[in-house]
Amino acid sequence: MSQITLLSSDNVEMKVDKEVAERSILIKNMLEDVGETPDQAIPIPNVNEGVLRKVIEWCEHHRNDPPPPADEDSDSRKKSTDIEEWDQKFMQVDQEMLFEIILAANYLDIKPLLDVGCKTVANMIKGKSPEEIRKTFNIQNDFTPEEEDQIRRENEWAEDR
Amino acid sequence: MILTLPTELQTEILSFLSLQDQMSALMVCPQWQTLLNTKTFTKTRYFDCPEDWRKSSFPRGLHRLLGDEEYGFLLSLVCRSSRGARARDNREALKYHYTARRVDIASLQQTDYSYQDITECPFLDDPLINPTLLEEKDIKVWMNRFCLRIFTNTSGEDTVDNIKRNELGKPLDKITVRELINSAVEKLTERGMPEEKAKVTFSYVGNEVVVFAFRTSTIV
Repeated sequence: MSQITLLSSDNVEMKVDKEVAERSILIKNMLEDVGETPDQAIPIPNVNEGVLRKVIEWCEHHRNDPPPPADEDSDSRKKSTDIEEWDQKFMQVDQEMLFEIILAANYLDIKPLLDVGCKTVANMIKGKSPEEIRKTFNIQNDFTPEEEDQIRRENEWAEDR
Repeated sequence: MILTLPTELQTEILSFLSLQDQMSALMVCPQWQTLLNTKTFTKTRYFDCPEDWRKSSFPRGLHRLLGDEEYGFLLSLVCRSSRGARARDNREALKYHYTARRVDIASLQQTDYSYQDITECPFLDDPLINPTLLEEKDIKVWMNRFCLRIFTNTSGEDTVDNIKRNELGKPLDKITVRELINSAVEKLTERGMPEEKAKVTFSYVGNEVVVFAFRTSTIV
């Protein structure tokens, strides 16, 4: 099994199986362009050591997954937010790491990991009120009171529950 | 920080939300309000069943605010006289609504009663049907199926009214969700519901729009 070396943004080298690294379409295409397995470390300038390790851990676990179906027009389809158990555990990280993983998956072009990340965040939004969502993500309420009033009406019913 | 993610990734995240959750997200911040009104999202607010949608009770291209696939109700206008607390009436109206849909009330969870006022929700200003999803023949099928049902309960008597599409002010393919609801309210007024005595709120219950029209005083 041939191995390659990745270099994180903070200059830490990591050896990984080529097959694992090729879960990243960015790296896969890069390796195809080069032709042979490179001797030098491949720099991943946007991803630091901690995040890269996490991403590699995911790729290791999913190394034998079938390739994701070709890009279909999924915009209008109802999207499921189901996440398999291992991935759920994998995503039990703080928010900063969660967003870093999403950014890294996007940069490295690992669509299934990006999906898991986005679903995880979507599940944090689900079933919450606007105020609860703001709290969850520490979002400032940037609406003026007038705007706020315009888009939100008090829930009279809830008071009675 | 979620708002510092690139816009396309925020879009990706929001696209996993149901319509109801999107309505909450809409009120979180101006940034998301703008995002949720882009074309990517307007498209997702319509029924689009690629399989044989003619067999389903829900026409393709219909706004998702207007009902569910299982029961085939388009819009329910529930009208009750409001005696006692308003909140209780809401619940009563809902019970009535669910009874009409032959849903076992005992099986309803507390969350099924959760109620969000969406009177000001910009989604209501979407066209009732999305013409870009439809061919001419689809629109025909759609129109033939259209029926607006209004439930009223005045003087303790329940009545169900059907409004035909030619009774609406505009053709179905030109009307917005809000306009549809407003014409329903207008019809209701014509049928003996004094406008000044009726308070109308658009609400989102489960996955369908219920229009509550409340009398603010008891029936004369």
